[in-house]
Amino acid sequence: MKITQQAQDGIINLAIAGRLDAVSAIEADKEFAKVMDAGNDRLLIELSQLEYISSAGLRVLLVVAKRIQQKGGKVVLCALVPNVKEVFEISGFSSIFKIFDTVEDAAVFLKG
Amino acid sequence: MGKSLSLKIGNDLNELAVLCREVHNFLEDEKVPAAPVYKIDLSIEEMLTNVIKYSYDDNDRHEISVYLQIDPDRILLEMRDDGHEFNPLEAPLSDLSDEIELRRVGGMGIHLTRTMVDAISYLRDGNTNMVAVSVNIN
Repeated sequence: MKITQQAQDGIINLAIAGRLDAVSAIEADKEFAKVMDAGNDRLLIELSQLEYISSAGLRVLLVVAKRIQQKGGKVVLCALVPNVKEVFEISGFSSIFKIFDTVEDAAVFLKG
Repeated sequence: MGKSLSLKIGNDLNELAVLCREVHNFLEDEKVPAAPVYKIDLSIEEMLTNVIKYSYDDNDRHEISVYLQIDPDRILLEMRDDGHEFNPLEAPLSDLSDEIELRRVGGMGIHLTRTMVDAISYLRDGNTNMVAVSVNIN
């Protein structure tokens, strides 16, 4: 699992690549905490290179969503591959996150 | 009968991570398509993480065994442990609230597994839990 960060126009783009499982979730949790500790409250999480997510990975994203909501910020997800999308649908995460097909659409929403 | 793989680990999350990688590589080497591989990976991670975290109330080492068989049309997965009797088919469904504030993730792994696989069964045999999962290859 690898998270690549990029900041533009006050939005932090975090691209998660690889496998977000019980092992890598611990690392991901720390990285997201650092990003939020730095005061960022508009996050665009890009998942086109995310091959696998389990409930441990969902938990990491839920923690991010709760914290960003408390700060009055916004977090969106985009570019889910079919297997990952299925997990989001079954878990009901599709309805608690704003999810876009493309990075561009996600960025437009965050800027609005 | 197709190719099969038998593995044993202790009740240790690090050993589980190694087992997950071995199973994943085995299925990829056998050219199983990505969708069924995902479902098997998820079933093992979710079910056995629960076993290791919640099924034992001593600090002894316990053995967990995994058997995998690739048939022409499906993958069969059997997981055995000697923890508390626990039937994942009877576990309550997790809370699927739309409200981020209220949302918890407990029970989500079992819910995902039950929904994504094509068949799942549970058997308590003496002091052993056996969960069998079947995933179609199409």
